Amino acid sequence: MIEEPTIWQRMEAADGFVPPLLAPALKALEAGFLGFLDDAAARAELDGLLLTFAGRPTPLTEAAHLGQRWGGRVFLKREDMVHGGAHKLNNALGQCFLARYMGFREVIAETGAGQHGVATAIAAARFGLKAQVYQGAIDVERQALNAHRMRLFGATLHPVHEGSKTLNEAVNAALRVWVSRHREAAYCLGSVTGPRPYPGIVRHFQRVIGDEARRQVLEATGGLPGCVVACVGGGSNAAGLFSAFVGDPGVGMLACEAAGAASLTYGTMGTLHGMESLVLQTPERNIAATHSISAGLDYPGVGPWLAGLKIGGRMDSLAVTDDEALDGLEELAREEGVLCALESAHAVAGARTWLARHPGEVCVIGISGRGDKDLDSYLRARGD
Amino acid sequence: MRRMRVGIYFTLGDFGLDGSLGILQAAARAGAGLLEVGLPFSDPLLDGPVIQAGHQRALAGGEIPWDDVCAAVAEVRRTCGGALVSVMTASQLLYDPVRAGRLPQVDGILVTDIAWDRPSPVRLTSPRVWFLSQAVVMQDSFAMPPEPVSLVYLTRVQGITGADQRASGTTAEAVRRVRERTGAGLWLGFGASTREDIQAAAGDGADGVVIGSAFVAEMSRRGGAISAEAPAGERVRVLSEAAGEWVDRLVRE
Repeated sequence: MIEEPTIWQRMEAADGFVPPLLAPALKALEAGFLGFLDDAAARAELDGLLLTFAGRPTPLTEAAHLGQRWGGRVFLKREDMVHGGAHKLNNALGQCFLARYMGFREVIAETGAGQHGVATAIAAARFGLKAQVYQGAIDVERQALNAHRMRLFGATLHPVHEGSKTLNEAVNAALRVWVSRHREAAYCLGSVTGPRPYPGIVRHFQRVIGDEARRQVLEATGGLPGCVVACVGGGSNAAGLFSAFVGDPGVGMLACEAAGAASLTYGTMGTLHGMESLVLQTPERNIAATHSISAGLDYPGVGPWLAGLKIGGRMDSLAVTDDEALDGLEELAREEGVLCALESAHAVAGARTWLARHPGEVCVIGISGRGDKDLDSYLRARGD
Repeated sequence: MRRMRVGIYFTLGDFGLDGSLGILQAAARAGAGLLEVGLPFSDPLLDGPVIQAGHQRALAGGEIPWDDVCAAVAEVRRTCGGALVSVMTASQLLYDPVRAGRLPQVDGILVTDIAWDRPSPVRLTSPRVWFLSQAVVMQDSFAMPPEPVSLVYLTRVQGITGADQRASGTTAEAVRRVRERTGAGLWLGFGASTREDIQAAAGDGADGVVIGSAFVAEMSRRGGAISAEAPAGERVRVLSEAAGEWVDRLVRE
């Protein structure tokens, strides 16, 4: 008997809302990706690079002090230890490998916090590709360190001055460029968003997070956790972690969003950047302005797979304020000696809330990246 | 050589609803054969900087209620009888079927983010404008649309809208391939701005050319030169006159 696809599977596989100009490029990408999946030698080459270049597998660290304080067992999946400082390289390495595999010599990418831009710049350098990265002008400023890193890795950084000058406009700008240049450049999309086949491709390259974490937590505790917790902007880190646990009905999944950009919690269905998903929108169906102290979560939509999990009741979401995230960042640093990204700090705050309701249980927090890039934002917010 | 028709694109609400209505009406009076009416949207994906700026101007004073947008579309249809009227919009604005159902009937609706071979997933109150790129038309698999079409809108270039785009060399062949499959009126758009572009399109066998960015840029320049203190009526009058002159010059030459 063939099982009916779940709502999250259907939403991820749905046809995109894309300009006809892009349809041929997306079809070619899907064919290229399927060819890659069938090519055992190519997959082995990429797997090798994850070990020898990206630094995988990343550890699962027990946060014993947090466990004591919160009343349970807390594990950290340490994507902050991936080369480049965030989980983004898992996907960028995969997509740049795919771009080279399909014969492209140039990649276009958008970036919010700059982590995907940095990861793309790193992967492009590794594969000898030219990288063009689009980043909102405000994000270029608030993530100056990442802007410098991208340039050092040889990428060309294009600050975007339209609209809110953050991730949403960076995506618009990068997609517009791709519409004009898709014959010579691949688009390296940073999250589980956008039109098919991107949500599925990005989740495929990120599910290594969950596959490792599931194995590691079984080894450490002898069982599965009560909950896996991750921050969600577009949702690539959460989708990667949750993918390995979605088939375990006893494992809860909690998506932690920025309160000012909480599409899973407050969004309604619509179309944005080629996908049909939960979107923050105005009564007149324009895309709403968003806010988060963390540039990586400052996005008005969310990947369709995660939206499907939320709609289907398989996953909960929680809106976390800037202050709660800052508290989470401080507590993790002080108690465990881990400086996480502001994005990941939303998941730390969410895990604390979850354990307060489920005392004694085990939870795994996805630490999507390290916090060095956020020190300026942190100091500004806390007034030191 | 066949007689070419000239169409223009303008975003509703750019220079206010009254301003945009005046511009569209003046263009029709001056002989524009097609009015492509853009619905204002916060995130237009397909547009170059000139038309993006038009959307931003339209929304700068706050969102325009859907009922007002619909009333303005109806007004264009009622007062511009000599021209074909089509609406150009992102799917997001038509995502809610009840809302989409209130859009007045015009000659066609072009939804910018629906692939050419996909039946419209959003509700359309007018027949679809079949939006095609040359890359698609030149594919072996190119086939009839999944639903009736009112017009064919074929891109002259590969990229987004913008007067500086260079035309593809395959246009005549693409036009021929479309003609083999449908008798609907065929308009070329993207990257057209001059008399030479219109003549080239005629040589390629199209029925007309839609001019967007070059027209919007001219209106923006003329509108920007009007004093901020000028009464609203004066602004509408100056912009209407400018639109009429601009279209008249292209149509008459």
